[in-house]
Amino acid sequence: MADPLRSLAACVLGALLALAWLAPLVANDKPLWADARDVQAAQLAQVELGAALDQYRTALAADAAATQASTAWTELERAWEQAAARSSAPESEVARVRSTMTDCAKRPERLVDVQRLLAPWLENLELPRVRRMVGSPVLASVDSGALLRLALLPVLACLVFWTARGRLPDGHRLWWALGLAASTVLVWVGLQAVQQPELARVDTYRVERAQVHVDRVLWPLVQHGPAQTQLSEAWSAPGGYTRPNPHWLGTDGLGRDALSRLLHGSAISLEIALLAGAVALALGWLIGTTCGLLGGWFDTLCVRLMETLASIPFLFLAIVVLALVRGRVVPSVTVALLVAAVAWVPVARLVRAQTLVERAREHVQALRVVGIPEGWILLRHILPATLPAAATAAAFLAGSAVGVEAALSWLGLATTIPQPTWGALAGEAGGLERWWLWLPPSLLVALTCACLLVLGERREEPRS
Amino acid sequence: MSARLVRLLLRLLVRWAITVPLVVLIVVLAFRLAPGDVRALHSEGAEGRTATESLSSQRFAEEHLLDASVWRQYAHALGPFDLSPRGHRWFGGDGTRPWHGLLALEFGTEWSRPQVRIRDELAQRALTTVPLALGAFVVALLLALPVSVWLALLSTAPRGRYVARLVSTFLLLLDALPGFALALLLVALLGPQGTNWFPATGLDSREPQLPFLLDRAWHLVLPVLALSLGGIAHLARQLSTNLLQLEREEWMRAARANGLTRAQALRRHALPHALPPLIGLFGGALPALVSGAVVVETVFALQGLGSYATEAVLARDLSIVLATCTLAAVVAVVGSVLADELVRSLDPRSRQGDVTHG
Amino acid sequence: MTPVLQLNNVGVARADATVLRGVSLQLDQGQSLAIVGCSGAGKSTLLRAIADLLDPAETLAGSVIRADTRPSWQVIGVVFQEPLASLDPLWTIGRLVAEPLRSLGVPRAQWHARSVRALEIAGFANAEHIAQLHPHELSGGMRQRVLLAVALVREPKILVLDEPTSALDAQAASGLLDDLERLRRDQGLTWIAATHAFAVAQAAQRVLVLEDGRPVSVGASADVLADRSLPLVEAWHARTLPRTPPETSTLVLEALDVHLQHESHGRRLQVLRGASLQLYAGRITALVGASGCGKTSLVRVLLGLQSPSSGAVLYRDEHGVRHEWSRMREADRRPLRRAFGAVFQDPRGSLDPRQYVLESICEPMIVLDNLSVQAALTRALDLLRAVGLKPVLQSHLPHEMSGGERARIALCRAVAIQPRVLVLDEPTAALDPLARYEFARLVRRLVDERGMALLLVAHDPALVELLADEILELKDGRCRPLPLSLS
Repeated sequence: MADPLRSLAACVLGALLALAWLAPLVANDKPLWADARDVQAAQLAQVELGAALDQYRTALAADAAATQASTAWTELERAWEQAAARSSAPESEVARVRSTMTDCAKRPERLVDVQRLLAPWLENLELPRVRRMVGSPVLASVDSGALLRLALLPVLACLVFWTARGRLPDGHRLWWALGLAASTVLVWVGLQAVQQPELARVDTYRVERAQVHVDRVLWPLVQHGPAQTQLSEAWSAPGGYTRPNPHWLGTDGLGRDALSRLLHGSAISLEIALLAGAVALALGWLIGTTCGLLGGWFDTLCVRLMETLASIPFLFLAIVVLALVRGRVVPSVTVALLVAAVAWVPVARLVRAQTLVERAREHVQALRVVGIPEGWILLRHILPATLPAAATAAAFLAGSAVGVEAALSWLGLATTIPQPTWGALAGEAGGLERWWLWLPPSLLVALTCACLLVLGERREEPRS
Repeated sequence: MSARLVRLLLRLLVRWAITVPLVVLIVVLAFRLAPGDVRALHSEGAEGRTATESLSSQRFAEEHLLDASVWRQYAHALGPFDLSPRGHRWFGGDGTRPWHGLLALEFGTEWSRPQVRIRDELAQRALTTVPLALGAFVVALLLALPVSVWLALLSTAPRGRYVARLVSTFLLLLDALPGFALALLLVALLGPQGTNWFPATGLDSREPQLPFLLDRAWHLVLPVLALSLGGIAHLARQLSTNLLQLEREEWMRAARANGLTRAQALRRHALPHALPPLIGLFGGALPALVSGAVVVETVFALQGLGSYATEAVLARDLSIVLATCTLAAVVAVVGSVLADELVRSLDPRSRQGDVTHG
Repeated sequence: MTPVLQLNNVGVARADATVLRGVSLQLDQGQSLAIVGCSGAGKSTLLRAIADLLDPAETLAGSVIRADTRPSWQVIGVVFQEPLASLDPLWTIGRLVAEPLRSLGVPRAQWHARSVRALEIAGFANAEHIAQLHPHELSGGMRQRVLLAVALVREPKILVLDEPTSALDAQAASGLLDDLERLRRDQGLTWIAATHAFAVAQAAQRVLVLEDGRPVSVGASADVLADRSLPLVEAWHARTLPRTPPETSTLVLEALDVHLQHESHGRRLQVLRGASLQLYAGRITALVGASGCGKTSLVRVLLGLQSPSSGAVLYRDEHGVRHEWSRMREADRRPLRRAFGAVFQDPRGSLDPRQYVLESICEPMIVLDNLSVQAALTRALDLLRAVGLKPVLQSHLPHEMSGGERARIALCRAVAIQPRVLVLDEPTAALDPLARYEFARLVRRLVDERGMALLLVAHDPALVELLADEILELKDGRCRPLPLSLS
């Protein structure tokens, strides 16, 4: 990459992708790592145990049918097991209580013993006895959609890098990229699997309200989550940086931290843009090469179709096509596919022209003369010659896709789940005054689009 | 000369004949496939509609062929015959409204507001959008050329190279900034909350202090800027790159050998070469301008074609969407054909083929 | 009398390397100089240094002193190398010729008259008519004259020409040289030409020889051109190459009465009307003819890329079996194809620009001979050594190499699978005389060593003279033999 601007663009884009990939670790209301005790759960169990004991006592006192008493006893046993599970009492003591309970099972006269046995459990469970949870709450709360996205982003980053270099990677590097994606997924899944599922309950809200007590904790840089609402702080401008946990970029109408939403939305926006570019590349390349190689009526048909699609104003077409989608809340992949479905035309045109040129090249003739099979020539010479130009065209397309998608979501026509994209975030501003809501996403859109445009500009063929 | 005009018109007609039916088909199909019950939105019983001003659900469906086959819907949308029960006699109607469709330039009435004729509303809204798009087009063309020449000259001067790099990057960011952000920035800087040089909403002031046309123009300044600045940045960058590439051509060197300064050589020799591909770009810019107008109209609260289409899609009004999309496609085709023609006429090499006198 | 031009230790450096150094000479008014050398020797750079037209990236060392101290573009007229590329295609000839006048400050009313006069001086009979045309409407020779007119319109003292005859045929070239002589004698014009054509060097009074950016010889043209120790001069004087005729000559490929029609714009053209030729093992057959007369079509028919409308092509393989080459099905032909080879015209056509050169050479061996990659590599490296190229080229792309090297690589690839028939189509069109001579020697050696039947398609009379055992001219769709001495 001789051109410093291209290198810079690739670096910036890589940094944005890395930030998007790491967003859950950078901005989250759950800690990265915590040594915590779920006090609330333990308290709940304690309350339930007390209630079950009262129930049993009442059942016995009312001298009702044996079935009622035995139901109450089963309930008591269950409540106790739950409390035991949430405590950190030693195994020996738990076994002792359990065996004693089994002894008292069918003996109403041993009620007093039971009460005395359970008394320490009903008092305020000392903190050391509350069950410890050690691990990563963030990882425990990652869902499958997020995992898929996390796997996709490195692949897309590799595509960006190769486009910047302007040359196709050798075969084995493609396997490296796939291996990288697979190992990313495995690493995340593996890390997640070793977490206790209850860790997902550890977050700033519960820590604040002493429902969870943390002994040791590692918080992310921004301690707000993207979905954490706080109505008392709605529409607040950036400021108050001396407070603990400030909102660096202010909040939106529901008190959600704008910076956190920006970071989490980056993954979706970048994914849509790069996915749209990749799909448009694949589609355009396929159609372009087929047209160039087959010729004849198929070629003419496709050329007319491409001309038509190009003369339709894109936003209008997108608006109409978006009407196809159920409601206005769409998965991000759908938006990407829609954008790609219209944007493949420039790539196809370019590839078709290139294919026609390559077919007639003299070095291809020289190979034909010698009797090298047509299929070999196609795979090894003609097709690879068309890819670099197509890839740069796709990068350019991805750049425009960012802008188009931003416009569509700003207009409110496409709201992605689970996180809104940059455009939608800008649209939530609902007015000029709340600049902290529409300016940062717009700047990020501009930055991403600019980087992709730079990467997508045709590099000159090397001259002798 | 007139033969060329005839050929041009023929080419235009052919392109229209291919493009427009395809656009109509896409719109009709999209609406057929879209989920949600259209009639529930527009007929009696829908929110805010009284019995007198809306038709019953049954009649609404008949009126607008909602249950008809796709071919019937398509033919009705394309025209020129009206295929509804009140349509042309040849197709089973009672003849009250024989004409309908694009070919008849008759689109019926709005589904949500049956007293409004779409054609009238279109004409009125076009009066907003057309000056906007045209103004942006002209401004872009006028500003892009000098900026690009200046940029090209600057980047070849020994010390100007870094300034040129900076300016080029600034233009790149301007180009990459999404339309709504640019519009909002302009309003923030130059509008009522900023320096208050220009108004930020609507087309007319309540108490105009200027004559009507000037007042209109004053209101259009910010929207036109918002629409054209991105395009100017893009064109200027593109043009200056082309100019610099052209400077390495042999005939540029020859021109310098004839005593022209670098600026003169760029202006007199390189610019005419760089223009044709750019004019071709302009042909494709018209659809982009129409698209960009959608966002600009929303920001500046202008009642134009773009916002008309957006509202119509949200309200699921097929007639309006059809009318606006096909109009946009027709205009786009005109732009593209004119651009091709202009490019052809600028390059003498393509005029009569290669006739050698040797 | 002060010399009109004086160069003192002139050198030119670019960012990465010194392109030219140590050139000193002086010229008087009315003298002519030819700067000769191979491609890349620095001729054009020296010319640009004299005319004060260096690129911004190049720096000048030493000094260039002119007697006339006006700005250089007023004193020096420059005639560039590629006439079509040097004339702005959007302008008319008259306007192009008049352009320097604008910068000279000549009043607009005089422009037309002066440009027409310049065109007449340059040798146009109907200058008025020519002034209305556009560059693409003229032939190559006429465009060269237009360039001359553009240079002459400012009435310069010095005329600088870059490869003035490279785009011209023999007749036009001699006409141009006559005009230059006339201008020198009648108007005292000093002309300097950078060239690798012998005729131009002969026409000049003095000659400067450059090699790798350094002057190796300077003096009167008669003296320098007789000095055979210079490789370029040697190549110029070479007429034929020594050859060893084979003991037996077997007929390998034969075209019998081939007819071919060509459809173009709805009209049928009869390209070949009964062309016949025979190719014998170990002999070089040259095919000459005017451009566009059908040489390429005949070659395509011979190679089996196109079927003739009538007539046949017969091929005899290594076992002596005769095949009806033109009538066979492609599937039957394919296994036999490896006995053929073709090297097409450069500049960038014959090698895949995206493939490393070593891969290009190995490819046919791997696909057709089923060699392992290792074995193919060894053979390729041997071949590269045999043709005189350094084996370090394996990681080079074609555009990083010179024209001569590319021609040799293409040849390597063609002979790697040991063909029996080899076709060379204008292989040296882009090469300077020295590279051409080296290439010809290589081809001769390969043919003698391997006993191939070689068909050489060429415009270049010098190449034909060097190599051909037999010359055929394609005229009116038929081949007729030409005597060897009249090439």
